[in-house]
Amino acid sequence: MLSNDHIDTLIAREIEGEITAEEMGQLQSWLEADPANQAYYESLKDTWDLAAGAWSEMPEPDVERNWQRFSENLTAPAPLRVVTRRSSWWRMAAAAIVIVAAAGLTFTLIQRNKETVLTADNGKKTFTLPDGSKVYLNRNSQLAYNGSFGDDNRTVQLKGEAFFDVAADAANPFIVAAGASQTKVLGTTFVIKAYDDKPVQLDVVTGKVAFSGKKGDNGALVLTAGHTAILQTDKEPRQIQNSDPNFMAWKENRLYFSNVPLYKTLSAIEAYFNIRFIVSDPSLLNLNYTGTFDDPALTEVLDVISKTAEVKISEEEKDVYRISR
Amino acid sequence: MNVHAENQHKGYFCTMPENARLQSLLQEDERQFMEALFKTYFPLVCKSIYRLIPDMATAEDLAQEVFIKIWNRRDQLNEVYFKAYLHRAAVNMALDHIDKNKRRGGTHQELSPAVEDLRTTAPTVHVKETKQRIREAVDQLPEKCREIFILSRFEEMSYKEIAQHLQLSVKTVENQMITALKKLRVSLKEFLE
Repeated sequence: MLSNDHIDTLIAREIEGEITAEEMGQLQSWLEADPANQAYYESLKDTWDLAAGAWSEMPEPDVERNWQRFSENLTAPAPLRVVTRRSSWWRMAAAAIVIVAAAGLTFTLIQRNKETVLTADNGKKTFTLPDGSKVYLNRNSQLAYNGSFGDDNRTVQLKGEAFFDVAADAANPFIVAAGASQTKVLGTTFVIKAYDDKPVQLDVVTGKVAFSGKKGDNGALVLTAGHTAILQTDKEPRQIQNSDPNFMAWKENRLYFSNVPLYKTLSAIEAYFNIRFIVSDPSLLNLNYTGTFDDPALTEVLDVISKTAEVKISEEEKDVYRISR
Repeated sequence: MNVHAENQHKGYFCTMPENARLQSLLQEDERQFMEALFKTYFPLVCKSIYRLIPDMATAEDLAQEVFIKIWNRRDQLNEVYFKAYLHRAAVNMALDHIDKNKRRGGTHQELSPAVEDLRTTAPTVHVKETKQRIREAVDQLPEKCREIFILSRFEEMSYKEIAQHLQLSVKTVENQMITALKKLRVSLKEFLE
């Protein structure tokens, strides 16, 4: 008498089609021995056949939209990255990091009476939210959340720029609303930046987030590490190539320039120190510059650049500097 | 499936077998190759992932990653049969994703027993909902059981291939297949009259 386990194995093999003639013979005689055996076999075969239809009507992915998203990366000369590690600091953070620069912000507060508003006017500040998440606010930035934060939602409204170290809670996703954008965190750490009159920009360093505009989750772009997306007013988010290594300079207290044109160097310094440059000779802007500043002071940076790039830098008025030959 | 020389002057969309067409494109123009490859096989890759991870946004995201890897490896593809290669890459990507999720502690499979009961014992069902119900029944299988069943039933992989992919014995795969069929037979009994 054959054991049931052995018969099951024979049925599994028969379904796969990899059954030997000898095994087929065993199965046949077992089937003929009892109508109940035949019924058992047929019910499993019927189940196998029935299951075939399970995915016959599955949703069709939008190939054109996906190709658009994919092909935007193809123009980049560097290999595409699935995971990017920009610095040892981030490796320790080991989570999702996002930057969003938002345009035309409307800062609406749902429960005005219960809301909490955190601000960082002149300096950078660190806060711990009720759910244990940490927020590092850059200067001139503001974060608000209502009284129910942590109970049935973890939604915050951001104006400006912030780094989030989000406490894990799979049942209650952490959502940042900035401008027209919504960033749903699928990982645990990220940064959001929001400046008026600029598209919302999202930069994922590690981990994964869902980035959406007006259409909400239906139009969401799920971005993994090393990828960047922007959201222009009245459009859907799209992926772009971010070549700015200084997108997290404010958080890392580090400016890094590797053979980049001076105009890129200067705009990173403008953003970092909140100053402006006036350049009298535009040809200067294409000089290439290489250098790294850790925890930089403005006077030091200007001094080093004027010497290495052989330009003169003079203070025109408060926070405005003129660059000339 | 013959390669007719007279067809070749008509450009890339002639009756050349798909793989040969893609291979010659790969030699001529990487970008065009990538576009043809992507547009031909993105649905296949995406659907293979979706069957294992029933969330379209995640499936699309992972399918994108499959093609990113292909693009980064484009100088090593000249012996490849693309359809099988992409299919395998898609399955691996999905299984890796499930593993990573499991290590992080969460998967969509971990529904509470109460939810499972509700789904599997829901009373009358319309014909339209049949496919949905079958999908749900498959999704409710225990994790490894579900993976094995999907790989065998829908990804056309042999038990041996599945065993290699999941680092299990063929015997375990066979046992899990029968377990899957027995469980499905129970949860889908109303369709099996």
